[in-house]
Formats: sequence, C-alpha cells, structure tokens
Amino acid sequence: MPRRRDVLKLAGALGAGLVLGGRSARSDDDPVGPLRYDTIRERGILRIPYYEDFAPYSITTAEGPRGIDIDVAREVAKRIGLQPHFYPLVAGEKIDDDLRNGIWRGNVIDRSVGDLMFHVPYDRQIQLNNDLVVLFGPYFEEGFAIASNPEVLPGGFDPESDEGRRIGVEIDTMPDFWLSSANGGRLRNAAVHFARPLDAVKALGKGEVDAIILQAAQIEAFAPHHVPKASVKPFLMGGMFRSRWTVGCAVRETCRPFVYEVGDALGAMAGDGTMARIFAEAGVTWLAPQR
Amino acid sequence: MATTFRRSVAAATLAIAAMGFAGLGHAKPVTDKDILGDVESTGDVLTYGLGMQGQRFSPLKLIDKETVKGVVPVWAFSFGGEKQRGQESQPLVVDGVIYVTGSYSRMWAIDAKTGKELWEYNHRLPDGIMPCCDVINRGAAVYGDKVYFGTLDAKVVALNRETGKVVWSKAIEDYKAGYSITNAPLIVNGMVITGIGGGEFGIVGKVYALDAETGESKWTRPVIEGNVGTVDGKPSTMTGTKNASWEGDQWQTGGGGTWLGGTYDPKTGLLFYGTGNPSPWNSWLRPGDNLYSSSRLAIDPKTGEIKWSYQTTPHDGWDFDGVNELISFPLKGADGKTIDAAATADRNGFFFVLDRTTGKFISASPFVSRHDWASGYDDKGRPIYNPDFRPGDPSKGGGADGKGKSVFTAPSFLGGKNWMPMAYSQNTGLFYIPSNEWGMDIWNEPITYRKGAAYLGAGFTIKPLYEDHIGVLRAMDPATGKIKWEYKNRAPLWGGVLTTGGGLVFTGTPEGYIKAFDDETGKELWSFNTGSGVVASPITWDMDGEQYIAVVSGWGGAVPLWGGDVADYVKSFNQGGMLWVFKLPRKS
Repeated sequence: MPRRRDVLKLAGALGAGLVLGGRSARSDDDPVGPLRYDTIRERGILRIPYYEDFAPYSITTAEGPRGIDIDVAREVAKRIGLQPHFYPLVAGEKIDDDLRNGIWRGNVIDRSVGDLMFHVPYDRQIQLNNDLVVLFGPYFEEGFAIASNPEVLPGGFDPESDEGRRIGVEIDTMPDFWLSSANGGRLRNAAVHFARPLDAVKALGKGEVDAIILQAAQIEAFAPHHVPKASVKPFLMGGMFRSRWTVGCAVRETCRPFVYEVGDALGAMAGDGTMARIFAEAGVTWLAPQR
Repeated sequence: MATTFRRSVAAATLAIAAMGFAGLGHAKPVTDKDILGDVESTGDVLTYGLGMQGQRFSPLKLIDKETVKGVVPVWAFSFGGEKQRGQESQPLVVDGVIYVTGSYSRMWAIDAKTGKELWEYNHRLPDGIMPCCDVINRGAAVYGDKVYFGTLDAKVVALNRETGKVVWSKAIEDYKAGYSITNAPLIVNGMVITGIGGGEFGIVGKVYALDAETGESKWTRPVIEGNVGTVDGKPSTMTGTKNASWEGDQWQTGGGGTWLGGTYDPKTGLLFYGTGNPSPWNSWLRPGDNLYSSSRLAIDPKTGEIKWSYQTTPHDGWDFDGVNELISFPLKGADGKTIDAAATADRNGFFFVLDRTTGKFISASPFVSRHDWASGYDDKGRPIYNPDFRPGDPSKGGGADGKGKSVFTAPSFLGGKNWMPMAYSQNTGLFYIPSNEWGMDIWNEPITYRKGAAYLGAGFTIKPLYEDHIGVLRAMDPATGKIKWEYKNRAPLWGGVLTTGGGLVFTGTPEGYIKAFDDETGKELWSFNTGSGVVASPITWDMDGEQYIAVVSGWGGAVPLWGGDVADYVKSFNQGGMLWVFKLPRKS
C-alpha cells in the first residue's frame, strides 16, 4: 500500500512539473489529472466543479461560489472530513461532456479535473453511457413549474385555448420542445425563447410574456423578486415529455469509496433537516428524491 | 533555480529569433495584388486554398508523374509541448518564411529553407472554451506586415510577421456562449473576413469583416433570415424576410454556423460562404425551409449584402451542416461555351455545380455510393426527398423508450465529405473529392440532459458501409457528373487535397501517409509515412529552382470524437504535431 502511494505521489509531482513552464492551472496548486481515492484522502482536498451561471443552484459571485449545490457540497465535504476546492465548469451540450470535462478526463485546456460532481441527473441511461463514472446519491427531485400573470391568465394557462398567448421558455428545454410539438405544433408560435431563465422571469415581470415555464427552483427563487404577483404551479406535460427527474452526484469510477461516504452524508442531511433548510434558504421547496 | 533556468532559455530563444531575422532582412509587405496573383506566383503560398478561389491547384511541374517517386523529406518541425493532437492546418509561405498554425490556437514562423523556428505565438486560451470538434485550427492569412488567425476563444488575432508579437486582438463573439473560430480568414480589399463556429444552442451564424489594420468591425452578416446585419457597428439590413421560412421566434436562434470560412472570386467580386445546419436538430419542430441554413451564400464584400443563395439541404433533418467550400472554375458546356461556374461537394453526398454570377442551379451529382435521404434533385435544384429516411417525430412515437422512429441513412452526419477541402485541376478540369462511405442510425430523442436538466436531444451512431474502406478519393468531372477514378482507403479521409501542373494529386491519410496520385488514372505514385495521421491540407511552392511540398501531420479532429464504430478502428492511431517538407534530391 505505501508503495502505491509513493508511485502516485511521484505521478502527481511529474504532472505538476509538466505545467511549470506553462500558465498556472485554474484550480490553484492542484496536481494535474485525475487522482485516486487514496491520494485525495492523503491530500485532504476534494475538488468540486460547478456550473458558474446556474442560479439558484450554483453561481460565481464576487465572494466566490454560492448556491444550493455549493452549500450542499460544503456540508458534505465537512461531514466526510475533506476541504472543498470549487472551480467553475462550462456546461457542454450534454451531461456526458460535463462528466468527461468535470471528473474523468478533465479540462481540455488546462487539464484541471474534479473529484466529486453535484447536480448530475440520477438516470440509468446516463450511467450506461458513461462507464468511467459512478452516479449515486440522489439528493432532490426537480421538475418544471409555470408562473403566469394572473391579470392576463386568471384561470391559469390552458393549452387548448391559449395558443395566442406568449409563453417564455429556455431554449431547447423540455417545455420548449412541448410547445413546439404538442397538439400538432399549434402552440409553436406561442413560444418565446430565452437563452437564460432569469431573462424569462424578468420578461414576465415587464409584461412582455404572459407566462413562463422553467425549472421549478428557478421560478421559486427568481419570481418573488421580479414578479411577486405571479401565480405559480407545477407544470406536468405528460406522455413522453419528462416533467420530473432526480438529481444526484457522480464520482470517477476509481473513487468508489466516496459513493458510500458521500451517500451516507447526503442521507443524514436529508434525515436531520439540513437539506430542507439549505433549499429553504434559497427560497426553494426541497422535494425528497424518489428512488 | 528553476526560474533562472527558464529565464535563460527564454533569453536564448529570443537571441536565436533575432539572429534569424537579421539573416532574412525586413519583411516585404503583402499587397492585395500579391494575394490576387497567388495562383500564378509559384514562389509563395499567400492564401488558404492556393488562390482566393480555393482551387488548390499549383501550375508547378518540376515534380511530375515520372519524378515524384524520388521525392524525399528535407526537414521536419515539431510543434512541441504536450498538445499533440488535431493538426488540420494549411501552411503559408511568404518570402522564405512558413507561417503555420497548430492545435490549441498556436502559430509558428519557420525558415522555409532550414526548418529553423523564428518565433512561436501561443494564444492564452481561457479554460472555459467548449470547442465542439477538437481543438484544431485550419490556417492563417497574411497581409501587409501582419499575419492573422482565428482562435478557439472566438478572437481574431493580428501578429507582426517578423516578431510574432500581437498587433491587435479582437473578440468577435463571446466564447462562453459556445463560439469559436477554427477557419482560416480571408483577406479582401484590406479586410480580414471570417466565419464562426458555435455550439448547437441558440446561436446564429454570421460572416464578419474587420479592418485589417485596426481590427474594427466593417460589417457583419447573419445568415439566418430575420436577423439584422451591421455596417461600421450600426444596424444595417435584415437577412431575407422574417418568418418566410421559419415559424415563431425560432429564427433568433436558428443555427447556420459559418465555421469553415469561405472563398472569394475576383471575377464576380463575390465572397462565397457555406452555412451550417439549422437548430434545433429535430426538424419536426421547425417546419419550413429554414433559410439560409445548409446553404451557399454569395456576399458582396463591400457592403456585406447577400447577392444570391442556394440551399443544398432545405429543412435539414440529418445535421448535413452545408458549410463546404464553393470553388470557382470555368465550366465548359457541350456547346463549347464557358460558364463562370462554381462547385461544392456537400455533406449530404451530392456534388453541385452553380452559375457563380447568379447562383442558378446547374447540376447535382452524387459523389458517394449511397444517398438515401434524396434520390436526386429536380431541374430547379430542389432535392427529391425520400421520406422514409427522415428520423421520426418523437411526439408520434414509433421508437424505443419514447424515442422517435430510428432510421439508418447514408451519408452519416459526418458527411459524404466533411471539412477537408477538395481541389480542382486546371490541367484535367476535374475535381478531386476526399469522400467517406458511412451511414448512421439517427433518431430524435425526447430527452437529453444538459446542466443537470432535461433537454431535447438527438441520437446518432455512425457505421461504415463497407468492410474494407471508408475513405474514397474521387475524381469528378463537373461537366458530366461522372466519377473518372477512385482510390479507396481503410480509414476515413480527413485531409485536404492539392493538385499540380505536374499531373499529380496529393492528399494525406489518417494512417499517417502523404500520397501522390496520377491525376488522370488515380494510380498511386508515391507515399511517405509521417508518423501520425495526416488530416491537413498539403501545399507546394518553388524556391531556388526547386519544387517543395509541405504538409502538417497530427491525428485528431472530429472522427475520434464522434465516429461511433469507426472510432474503434482509428483509436490505435498516434497523435502528433509536425510540419514535413519534401523535395527532389538536388542533382550533383
């Protein structure tokens, strides 16, 4: 065992040496490349990539990373006795890209790589497609919600009769897909596309759209500030359109011991009320994951 | 200690660079006239495409069908470092200096005679870039005392040709939104002109013209209808007619990346740009032709206005991303008259000939063995679709797990021909097309996950059509649409083509070879193993009475990232990053 550790240390030193001539890696003094569980424990540092423009879950602020996922990650790191090091991850086109860039291969430019990722859908197909990572630790249930202007839509949004309304959605999300194709595409012209969810919420506040369909947490966190009068309801699309999903964690396949340690910490946080409190502080209702 | 060591190395490098320039003297400015005369001036290579029209033809014939077998390497240059992957660059040769770009937005100036490095520019890339299809770059442009290239973080950078120092650097879009530049820029009338690549989410492709001296924006032209261009930074005219071929506000995020760049025809005074696939991928969500996605556009470089358009794949549902280069050439008709024509070999498997003055459709001929999605084109230039080969509408079901019906169709989304430029021989009047024989299972999928949330998706699996080959180099007669000869290669072809007055066709293979073929028969006459896959475009020039050939070697690009079953065959190919230069041995 000590011998393997020595080899790993040497590998880490070599990796660090290789970047000396170049610019410094983003994640401070971290050795380049994926580490094994033993080395992470020995160093005492847990590297955690996060989406930097993804409020209320995670966002980069002047004071550093903030958000629900960041708070959950800090608490988990504390409970398993490691120091969290956060660094931002740019979302790829698919979760597979994020798992590759975030925890198994690392960043293609500076080669920084994380050890534990939060906010990964707990989904069998994703697990099958990404055999270098382990998905585990579901910690909440996410879905879509609709916020509508009660003066324009007093009875709420009715897809059968409201095709002349303007409905804000984030581009290429499930609600966008639903508006563009349901009922033979009758609602296609109702869809108003936004690149960022917060812009959709602001547009509802200014009366530029009549309703918005976004992730429930985004509506719960943003609506009170921008559209306090909005009527908010869960939005279920039915059929093939997935309206709810479970969110968990992922680690590199070589770091399996974290599956149990982090899984236990998350379970305890659900049980002792920590999880509900973290979500509530962000204005979001915590829904326990459905297994 | 380490710091001192590095400092002294840096000082030594500077000293060597200074000595190199002392030997070469002051760089002669490159003029518009020089650039327009690039085809005839065999002593240099001033443009991507060996001439603005992009024919990739050199009249040089010192190396010919007889002598080519004696060609040997003169020197080779390593790009160094750990960044050994995805070299798709075409070098330039100016006044005895080679300018070559490499992966990760790097550039070198090298003494063409000795292979000695004069300078290296290593662009400081932010860690948040998301290049879709490897960290490649396709080449530079020269003008005046500067050399220009585009970077993976969506900047155009102007470097001093002698020193490699930055003169100006301008971000034309936000890399955080997924934009990047990999194409080689064009120089037209004192402007640097470039396209742009982007992720599939919410972008609109544009063509950008910048002042070559200052980097200031002269004009921009979005390629999707409804979007408004700019002139000198102020809004100009709308592209097309809003909502003519798109529903709702989908045109605002309609795709159409111009990631491969363009060509310029001095005779008509037009820029020709290809445009990528429309967004989103699932074509059932965006009824209409979705103009001007998957099209060729002729743009007036003075104003940025679109003069004509031709759409190769209306309502693209296969990611046929029609960016391929449009090459100007004289088409001899049956009546003996010559038409100012242009040709393009599309991802969709058809080779198109257009009247380049008007954009009028002349012909479309398949250049691959299968083109399931369309049986052909009618006389107006519209595809005759085969509806059985459009991936199913997922809201109608038909596939497993709520997916839309999956279809197997060829060509695959990587195309009958991908980015790699074909060549036109002024000797034979033939086009030499690097093509690939592969198909794909494709389906529209209701669910993918992005940033931890459920999004709309599409699925692909690429499969070779034949056991023994994927790549086929084909000689196409543009007058008849007939294939004159073909050369089969086991791995997909991913490098550009060069043809010469000596009757030769040069191209590289992922297996590592640069090869020369007889331009009339396709017989292989010469090959050399460069040690890593060749996925770049070869060039030729003459110097001191001798003809030189150069090509960059370094496996990478989209195939190992996206290739499905194909990736299994190519995964043993080693990466690299070398510039190889060849010539005939000097007679003693």
